[in-house]
Amino acid sequence: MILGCCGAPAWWAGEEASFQKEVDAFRNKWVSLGQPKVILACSTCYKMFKENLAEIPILSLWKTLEQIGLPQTEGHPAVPPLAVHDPCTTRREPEMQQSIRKLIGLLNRPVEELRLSREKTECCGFGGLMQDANPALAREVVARRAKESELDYVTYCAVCRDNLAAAGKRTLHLLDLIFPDSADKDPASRKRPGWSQRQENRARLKAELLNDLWGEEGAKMEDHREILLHMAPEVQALLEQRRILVEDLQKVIHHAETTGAKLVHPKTGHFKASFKPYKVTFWVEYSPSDDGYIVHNAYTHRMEVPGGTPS
Amino acid sequence: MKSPHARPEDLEWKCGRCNQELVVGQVSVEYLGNRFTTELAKCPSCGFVFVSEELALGKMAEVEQILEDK
Repeated sequence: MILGCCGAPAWWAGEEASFQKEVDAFRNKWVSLGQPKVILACSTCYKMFKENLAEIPILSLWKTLEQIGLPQTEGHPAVPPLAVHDPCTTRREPEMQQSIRKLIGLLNRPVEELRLSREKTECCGFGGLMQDANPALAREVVARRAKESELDYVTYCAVCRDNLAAAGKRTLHLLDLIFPDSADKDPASRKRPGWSQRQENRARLKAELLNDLWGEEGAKMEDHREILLHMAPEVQALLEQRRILVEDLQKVIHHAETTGAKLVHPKTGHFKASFKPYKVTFWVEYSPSDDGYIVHNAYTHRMEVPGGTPS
Repeated sequence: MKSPHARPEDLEWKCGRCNQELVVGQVSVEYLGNRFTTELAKCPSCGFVFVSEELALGKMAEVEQILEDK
């Protein structure tokens, strides 16, 4: 089992060197594992592998499930049909699209085709990094797609699922139907996780897999990750929009509190500190709380101020 | 970037380590191989430079964008 990246975001960003590095790293890992067949759950990974790692034999998770059969699940009561949203990277994968429809059929869910589906399917607003390059256009694209049917959507790309959900469209991932989570009674209403939550989820998944499947302990949590932060909902929303992660805030505060390099506002008692872990400088305005810190604001810049943050 | 970019409210902050009032001083900023000199609020003792939200998201972001698009 490999948790990793196929390099698609680097490819879409035109970062060919980063992309090649990612592809080469995967190839080396695959060789060291004895060149196994690779089963892919993501249709973008599938496309990237097909086009850039042609020597690696691949199979989609959906074809695999079609071949080995679905796990036993409780019978489904009479339910309204679902509208299938095909991810844009499956436009030239009719076989995968067919597997999806077969699997949904096996789950006794009727399917309705959207006006534009299969080889004409539409983007969820993420493809080609539209969401990063032109957020307003991405919102418009997904809002249009979300309006195509009154039915709940089902898709088989995690990003499409989350983007449609963020546009207010009730959307399931096919895995929600195949492996239902008893703790999540209405997965179609699950909100899109924020950037920090996504990072947290990935770290938790890795830790759980290491622990449960291989009996290994994950890497120790870095000191800054232990810092407890509190934020008002509007601050959280602003930082989400500015793509500032909780971990970025923790790094700044950890640096400020261990080095003492921070500003103090005599009237409010707030602190202000900055830190540049890689290429971006993060500024955080914060104040202490009983068990950690309250974050009041944060922003970033890419321009450098040499010597501006004494260590 | 033209100077100065320090606003009166920037000077309300004090350096936490040196316990000094910030002063307006010459600062060099760099991006993508370009270097500019401007005036910003800084600690006269340790040199901690304050970049305000208004500057980071305003003029600085504007210049970053121009240099990236070059």
